Amino acid sequence: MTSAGPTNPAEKAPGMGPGVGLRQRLYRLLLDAHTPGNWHQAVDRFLAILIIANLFALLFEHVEVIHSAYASWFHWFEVASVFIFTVEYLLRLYLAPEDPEFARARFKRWAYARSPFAIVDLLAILPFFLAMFVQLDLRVLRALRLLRLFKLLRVLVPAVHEFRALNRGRSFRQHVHALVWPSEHGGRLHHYFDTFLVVWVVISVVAVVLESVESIHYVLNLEFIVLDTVAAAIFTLEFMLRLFSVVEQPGYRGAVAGRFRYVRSPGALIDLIAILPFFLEVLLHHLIDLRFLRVFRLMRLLKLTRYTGATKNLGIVLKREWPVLLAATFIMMLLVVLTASLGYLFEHDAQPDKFENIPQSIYWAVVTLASVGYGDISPVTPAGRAMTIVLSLLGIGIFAIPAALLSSAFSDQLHIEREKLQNELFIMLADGVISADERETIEAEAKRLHLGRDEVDRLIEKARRQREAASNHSLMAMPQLIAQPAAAVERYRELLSQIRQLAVLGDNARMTELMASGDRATGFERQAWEWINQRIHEDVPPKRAD
Amino acid sequence: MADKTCMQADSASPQAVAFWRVGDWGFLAALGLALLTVVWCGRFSFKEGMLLEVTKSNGEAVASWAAQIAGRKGQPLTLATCASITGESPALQGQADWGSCRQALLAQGGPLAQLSNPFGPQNPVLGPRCDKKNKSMRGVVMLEKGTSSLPGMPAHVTWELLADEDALVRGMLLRVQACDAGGYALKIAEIKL
Repeated sequence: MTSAGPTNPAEKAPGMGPGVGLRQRLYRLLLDAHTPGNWHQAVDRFLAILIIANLFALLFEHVEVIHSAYASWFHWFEVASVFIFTVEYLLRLYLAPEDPEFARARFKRWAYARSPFAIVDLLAILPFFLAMFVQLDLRVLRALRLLRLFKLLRVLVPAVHEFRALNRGRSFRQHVHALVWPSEHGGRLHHYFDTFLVVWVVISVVAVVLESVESIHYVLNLEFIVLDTVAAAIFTLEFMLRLFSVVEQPGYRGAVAGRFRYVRSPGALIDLIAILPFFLEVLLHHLIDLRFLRVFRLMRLLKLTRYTGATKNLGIVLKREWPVLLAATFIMMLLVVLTASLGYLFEHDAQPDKFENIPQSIYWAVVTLASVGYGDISPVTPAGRAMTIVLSLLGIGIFAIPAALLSSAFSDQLHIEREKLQNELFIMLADGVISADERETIEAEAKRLHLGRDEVDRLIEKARRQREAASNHSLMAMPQLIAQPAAAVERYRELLSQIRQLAVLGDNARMTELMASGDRATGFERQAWEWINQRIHEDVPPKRAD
Repeated sequence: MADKTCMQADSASPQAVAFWRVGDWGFLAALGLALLTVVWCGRFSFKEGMLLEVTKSNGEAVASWAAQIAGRKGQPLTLATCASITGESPALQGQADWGSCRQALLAQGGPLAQLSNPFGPQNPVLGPRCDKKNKSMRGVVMLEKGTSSLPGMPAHVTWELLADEDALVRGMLLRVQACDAGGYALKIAEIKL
């Protein structure tokens, strides 16, 4: 873990060395799920993204306005997609003999070609080539392109198998829990579930933003309705699944109390806000126009906070620093009221329409003190201008306090989090090695804390040095020695050995003389020295156990 | 991606447990109900969306009519031109005003006779300004005339509803808008006659 990771999987992955045939090398590099550090996952991810991009292209092609404007883009995207899928199909066909699944077949490639995944792969590209020779209806061609979605099964099916294996013997609710909440039983399927939700959050937020563009909304009105319904269905399903399975989470036990506690949590409230506008707008349409609630669909973006530790850190920082922030806010409020009052006092006569009263002057005071300075209201009297100079300079300092506080506290929090990670590393290194599970945990934590590989390596090295120092009894402090009798015995023996060495190698006579004279040593120390001196050659210390 | 605290969260018991519990069926029923509600709400929104599409197509038909008469540059804007009626009567050859033109357009056999308000047959097709409080104004297509700012002033057009007595004249700026389900105006097109 401390060494740099493999930069070229082709060189580092097992079975990639010299003497391995090209076909085998290619298989292990690109398609073998069991070769660690190869490109298999990257290839799968790229193909999954391409399949989803194809789905979106297909959807947009149905909108005549978009299709006619970008017809050539759609065409070349289709050509590029088919090219990539064809290369993939041919590559899989070529490498099929290396696949253990078809290793026993007599005709390995034929066995592969007949497999469900290969048939799906072929169906994904065949319509494109067929259209070159046979006149096909465009709608049929588009419908056939939908078959590409089934290519995702290549990623999903193994994940489902893994999920079932991880959850064997567990209840339905525990299955749901493993799917929606992070746990050791989730596996890749949980990861895909999260990714799916993140993608839908992004899609629905982009849709809300685009809906506000009149020309786009005019053309895609029905499409936006369908998209919003699908998004609402997905987020409702997610909310229900979380509510159902949350009782499996520690801290939320109890069918009613646990769920009620969960519903009050910020995460659940965000989930609820994400779906409520959809229902309210329809259910209460005859009473009130709730179109303004549509803006709240942008709150779906907050759902992403579940997947990052940044907001959690911000919450901790605000909770920790709120007394200081409150004090700073109080000073700011004082300054605002003071500035507004002075502004009103000096400027009211000269500009009664702009500085009509103190509440109206507060707007000008905040804009001035926060150094925004729109310029729509400005002082014209000499006294007003002089006061503005002083208060603006004051405002720069006072208004910067909360920002500085937050920034400093946030930095401290990150430091604390890193120290926590270092402590965890220290514990992990108790056995001297970092296991695969521990490595996974470290990587997850590093990702959460936005730490680079170099930084993680540096922390591991630091923890390793601490561990070495901690195991060296010569460097242990007294409380540590008290807590560890074995180390204390070793330390005792080491000290005694040093005294004996002094007695043998040092100026023994002079030391005895000094020890005996004056108050250089206590009676106990003198007696111990004499006792050791008498037995210097009597007892040879045994060899140390370690 | 996974939260550390959540990573530790797990409730697996070492011994196998029953897959289904009674509460699970209740959850599945609630889930089904929730999803049915989503489908019902979605269907409702879609139906309203379809009504808006019809309203938009009504508006586009009106815009298309306006573009058509705007295209006949050489012809005076008489009632005959306005409603594409052939005839020699003086009434047809006189200067067209919007009231008579509208009547002719929507009359039996008129170019826009086939239009109907999708939100209710009793609601007007071509009518007054959108009103959020008046539901009978939903689906109405309205025509407004634009008045440009004076030369030398910042470019700005002021729109006001085309009144029945307003004469249709060449160079007139028209804006076609439609009222959606919430009573908000939706711009369809701007045409210069």
